[in-house]
Amino acid sequence: MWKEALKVAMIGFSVVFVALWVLAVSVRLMSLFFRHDEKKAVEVQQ
Amino acid sequence: MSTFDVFQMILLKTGFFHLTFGHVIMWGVGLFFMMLAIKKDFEPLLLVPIGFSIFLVNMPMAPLTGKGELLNIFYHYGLEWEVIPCLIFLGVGALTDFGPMIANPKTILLGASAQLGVYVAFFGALLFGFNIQEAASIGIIGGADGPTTIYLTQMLAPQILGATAVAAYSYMSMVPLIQPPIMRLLTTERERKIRMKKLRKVSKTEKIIYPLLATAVICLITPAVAPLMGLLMAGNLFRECGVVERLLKTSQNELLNIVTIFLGLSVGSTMSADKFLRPQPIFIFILGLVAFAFSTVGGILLAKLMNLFVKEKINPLIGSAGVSAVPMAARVSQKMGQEADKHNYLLMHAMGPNVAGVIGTAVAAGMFLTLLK
Repeated sequence: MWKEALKVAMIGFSVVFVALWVLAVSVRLMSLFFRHDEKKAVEVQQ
Repeated sequence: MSTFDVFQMILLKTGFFHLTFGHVIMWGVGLFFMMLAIKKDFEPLLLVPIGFSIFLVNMPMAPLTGKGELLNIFYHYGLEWEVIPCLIFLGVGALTDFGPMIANPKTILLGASAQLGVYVAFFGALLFGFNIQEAASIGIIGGADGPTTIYLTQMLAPQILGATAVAAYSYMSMVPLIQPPIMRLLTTERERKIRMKKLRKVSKTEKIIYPLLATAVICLITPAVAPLMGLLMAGNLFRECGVVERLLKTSQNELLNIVTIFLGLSVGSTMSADKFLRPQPIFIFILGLVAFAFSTVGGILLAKLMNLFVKEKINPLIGSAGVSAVPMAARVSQKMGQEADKHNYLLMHAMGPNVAGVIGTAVAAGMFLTLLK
C-alpha cells in the first residue's frame, strides 16, 4: 500500500505543478497575443 | 386493544423511548457548529444549515435519512449524483475575478505548491489506519475547498463524507486563526515588507478568453475533474462576457443560495450518532488541520524560492493564499502585510494564488480520481 501511496502522491503532485505551469504559460501567451493585437488596433485607429 | 396497549404503543413510537447518550452528544455537536456560525460568524451560510441538520437527524425515530425520506432524497440527488458541488462551482466562477491571476501568471505556481498539505495529510491518514481512498479524501481537505472535498470524497470514500466536509468548511472559516502564526514563523520582517508592483489592467478580451483557455488546459490534462472545472469556468464566462446579466445574477445569488441550503442539510444529515461517534472523525479533524498548515507552508516556501530567481520580488505572504479559501486567505495576506508596513497593499496580488489554488485543488482531486477510482 505504501508503495502505491508514494506513486499516487508523486504523480499527483507533479501533475498539479505541470497543469498549473502549462496554465501559467498559456495565460502569458494569451496576454501577449491579445495585448499585441489591441495595440495594433489602436495604431490603425490613430 | 386496551387503552394501556395503545398508550404503550404510542410511548414506543416516541423519540424519548429511543433517545441515547450518543444522540444528545450529537445535539451538542450541532449546537456547537451553530454557535460558531451565529456567535463567531464562521462560515454561517454553511455551518447554520449543517449544524441544524446534525441536530435534526439525531432526533430518534424521525423519518429523515432512510431510503426515500426527505434528507436522503436531498443527499441522493444532490451529493451522490455530484450535482451540488458542481453547481456551487458555477456560482463561485460567477463571483470570481481571475484578473489578478491573468495580470501576474507566475503567481499561479503558488496555487500548486499550496497543495503540499494535501499530500502530507494523505500520508498522515495512511499512518492513522485509513485506506488509500479515505486518505485521499482526507488529504484534499488541505486544499481548503469545500465543494472539491465533497466531490472527491463522494466518489472515493462516501462513508466519511460528513466528517471531511465539516472539517473542510470549519477550517476554511478558521483561516485567520490557523495561518498567521505559520506566516510569521516562516518569513522575516524584511520579507513581509516587500512591496509588489501594481498589477496591470487586464483587458476584457483576455478575461473572456481565459475561461475557455483554462477549461481546455485543465480538462485535457485531468478529464476526471471536468464537471467541476467546466462549471467553474462557465460561471466565469457568464461574468466576463457581459451579455448574460440574468444568468450571471442567478448563478451568483439565487442558484448559489438554493444549492447551499441543500448542501448544508445533506452534509449534516450524514452525521448521525451511530456514524459519527467513533475515533475516525476526530482523526479526520486532526489531519485536516495538519493538511491546512502544510499547505500554508508550501505556498510560502515556493514564494521564497521564486525570489531567488525572479527580478521583481514576491512578498512571501501571498504564497499562503495559495490555499483556496477565497477570499479569506488573500485577506489574511493583506492583513499580515499591513502589520509589517501599513502602506503595503497585497490583497490583489494575493488573489492570484488564491484563485489558482482553487484550480490546483481541483487538479489534485482529479489525479486522485484518475489513480484511485
